[in-house]
Amino acid sequence: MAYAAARGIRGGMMAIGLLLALAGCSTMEKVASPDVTDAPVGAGVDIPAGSNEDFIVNVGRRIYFTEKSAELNDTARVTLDKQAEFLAQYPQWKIKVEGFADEPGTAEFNMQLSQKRAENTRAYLISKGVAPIRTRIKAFGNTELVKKCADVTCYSQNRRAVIVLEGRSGA
Amino acid sequence: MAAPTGAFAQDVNEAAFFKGSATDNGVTFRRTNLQKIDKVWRRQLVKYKSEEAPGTIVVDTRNNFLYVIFENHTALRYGVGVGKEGFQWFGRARIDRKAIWPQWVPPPEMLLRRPELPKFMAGGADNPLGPRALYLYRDGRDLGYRLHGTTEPWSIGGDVSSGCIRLLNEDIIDLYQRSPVGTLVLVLEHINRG
Repeated sequence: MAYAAARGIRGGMMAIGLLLALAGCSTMEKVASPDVTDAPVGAGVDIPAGSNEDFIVNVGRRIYFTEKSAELNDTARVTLDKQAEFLAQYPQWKIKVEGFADEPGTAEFNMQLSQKRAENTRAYLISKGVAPIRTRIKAFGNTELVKKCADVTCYSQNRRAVIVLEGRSGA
Repeated sequence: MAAPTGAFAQDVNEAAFFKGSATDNGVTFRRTNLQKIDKVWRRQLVKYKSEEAPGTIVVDTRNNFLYVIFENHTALRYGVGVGKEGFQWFGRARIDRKAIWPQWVPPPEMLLRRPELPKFMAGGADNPLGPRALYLYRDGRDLGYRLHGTTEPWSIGGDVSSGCIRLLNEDIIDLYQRSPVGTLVLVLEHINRG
């Protein structure tokens, strides 16, 4: 039944797409993906290998840290190993390593902490074969919280580094 | 574990759902043959309209989907199989514990139903929890509700007789990577399901 329901949702979306195509309206491309839950955002499961979407869906951009720490844990290293593999396979990409922090401590302390998180992340990727020239870092301190609250549900998401693919070099 | 029900009750060619093998933390397991998994149940980016913060996991047991909320009203969606224990709870919880190749202790009522099951099963490729388990807690109390892998990839997208929320093994490994301890989980309420 759940299966049928899900198929129904998809069928409905296909119908909307078809209607828009038939209408031939000039804004069709902008609204081709309806703004509703479960509407496809990218290429679905047929993601081009080596694309940014491939990186987001099949590798993952984020790693997490514990309180006041810039140490990479085992889980973070697993994700970074996959990232290094991706970057070795697709040398056209550069990366920006973004470091973030939250609480406790002053803005200055957290700026340094986020800088250290980004630096450690980059150093690990370089140790795994990513050319330093393909990398840059940016520290955000505690200015870009995913969510603000005084417990671990927020802290766990805020204490992070995000590895963003950037402009294909030489493309 | 028990045979799947509903749309998946027909005999399935189980071997066809596997292709090759992989080694993870010292355990060799069979990879899922994704070509056999309907596209709707495979990991993909979708829109998701909600006020949940990025990183939150939303479980929709009615539609057999699990979402990791991303920015800008998008989410990474996974197909899930929902077991009997998976319907017994809804609301907000937190991942307070995560395990790699978790051991399994069947709940007493399941042992009554299926006395042939072992009372304890060490972690490994034959363990029904698969390569990872994420344990849900509320106020420090283990809810007995967990997200885990599976030895039965054909059961993804269906309702099964036991277990909680099962994902393809590749997907639960992926979810483990994306979900630090402290991650918020929202299990949607469906009053028409027991």
